[in-house]
Amino acid sequence: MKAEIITNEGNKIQILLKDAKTSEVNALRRTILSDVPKMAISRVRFEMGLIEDNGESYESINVLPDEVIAHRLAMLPIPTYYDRFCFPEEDPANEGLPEDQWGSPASQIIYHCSVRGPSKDSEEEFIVVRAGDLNVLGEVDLQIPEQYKGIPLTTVIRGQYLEFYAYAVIGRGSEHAKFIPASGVAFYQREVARLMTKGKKSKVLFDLDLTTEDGRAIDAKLFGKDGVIDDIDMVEEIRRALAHVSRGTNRDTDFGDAIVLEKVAGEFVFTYETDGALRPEEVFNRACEELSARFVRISDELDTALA
Amino acid sequence: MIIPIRCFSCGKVIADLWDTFQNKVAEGQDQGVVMDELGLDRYCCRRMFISHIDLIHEVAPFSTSLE
Repeated sequence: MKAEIITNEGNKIQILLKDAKTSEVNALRRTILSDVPKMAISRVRFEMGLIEDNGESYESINVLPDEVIAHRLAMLPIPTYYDRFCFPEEDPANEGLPEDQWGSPASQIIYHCSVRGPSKDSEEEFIVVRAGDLNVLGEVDLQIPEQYKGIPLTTVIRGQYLEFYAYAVIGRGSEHAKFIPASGVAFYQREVARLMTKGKKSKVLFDLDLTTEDGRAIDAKLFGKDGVIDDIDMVEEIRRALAHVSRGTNRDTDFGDAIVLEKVAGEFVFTYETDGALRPEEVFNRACEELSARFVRISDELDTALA
Repeated sequence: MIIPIRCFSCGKVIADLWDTFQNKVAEGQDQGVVMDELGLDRYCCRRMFISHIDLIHEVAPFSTSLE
C-alpha cells in the first residue's frame, strides 16, 4: 500500500491510498477509531464546601452536576506526546499499587481549575468557566490548545465557586470514546469522470448549465481532449453537480450516461480530522504501527501454536 | 442547556465554535453560511448547532446556595 497526502490543512487530512484493498483501508479506519492512543481526562477531584474570601462566602454548588462537568472535561482535547507518557498500567511507578492510587508524572497530566462567581460589587451576573481556566501543573506545552481555550465548561453565579483537579491519562478508543483521536474517519474508492458521448445526449446535459462550486461551467471544455478528469476535487464537484439531475430527478433519461464516474481499482481517498491532540499525519503513522504490530503478534502466535 | 463539547455522532470538537456562531448569526448572517465558514461540513455537526438552545444562563440563578 502506498500513501500520498492530497491535502493537509489544520487538523484535516485527505490521503490517497494506492495498491490497497477495501479491507486493508477499513482496517486502518478501525485502528484509528479504536487503537491509536490519546490523552484524555479520566479522573476529577472536586473541592467541596464553603470558603470565605474578602468578606464574601462561596459555596461549591453549580448549575451542572459534578458528573456532567467531569464528562465535559473528558471530552476536551489534551495534547498527546507518545515519547513523554506511557500507559498507566505500564508505568513502573504504579506497579503493585491499587488502581485508585495510580499516578506519576510519567503517565498522567494534572490540571487545576479554580473559578469564583462574581463578587457582590460586580455588575456581572455569572462567569463562564472555560477550558482556558484549566492550568496545567507541569510543562506549559501540555496546556489546553489555544484554539480550544474558549470551550465553555459551566457557569458560576454569585456565591458559587468551582475548584477541581483533573487527571489526564493515555488510553485507547476501544476503552472509551474520549480516547478517539480523530473524527469523521471515512474513505471511498477514487473515481475519474469520463465524457462518454460528444453528441446530442451530452449537449442535453451541458444545456442544464451545471457548474462547479467556483462557477466553472461543466461542459466538454472542462474534460479536455482526452475526455477524462482525474483531479480528485474536480471529480467530487462533478459528482455533486450530477446529483441534482441524476436518477430520481427524471432528467437523467434525457442525457443517459453522457458523463460516467468510473471507479479506479485499488485507489482510495481516506479522510479524517483530528481534535488537535495529535497531528493528522501522526495519527496515520501510529495507526500503521499499531496495525503492523498486531499482525506481527498474530503471526508469532501462529508460529508458536504450529511449532 | 449548554453546547455539547463534541458532536454526538462523529466526535468533532464543536463547543469552541459556538460563541462565534452565535455572534455571527446575531449580526444577521445566514446560519448555513456561518457553519460552512466554521468548517462544520457534516450534517451531524450542523444539527448540533441548529437544534441547540442555550438555557444555562436561565437555569443558573436557580442553582442557589443551600443557606
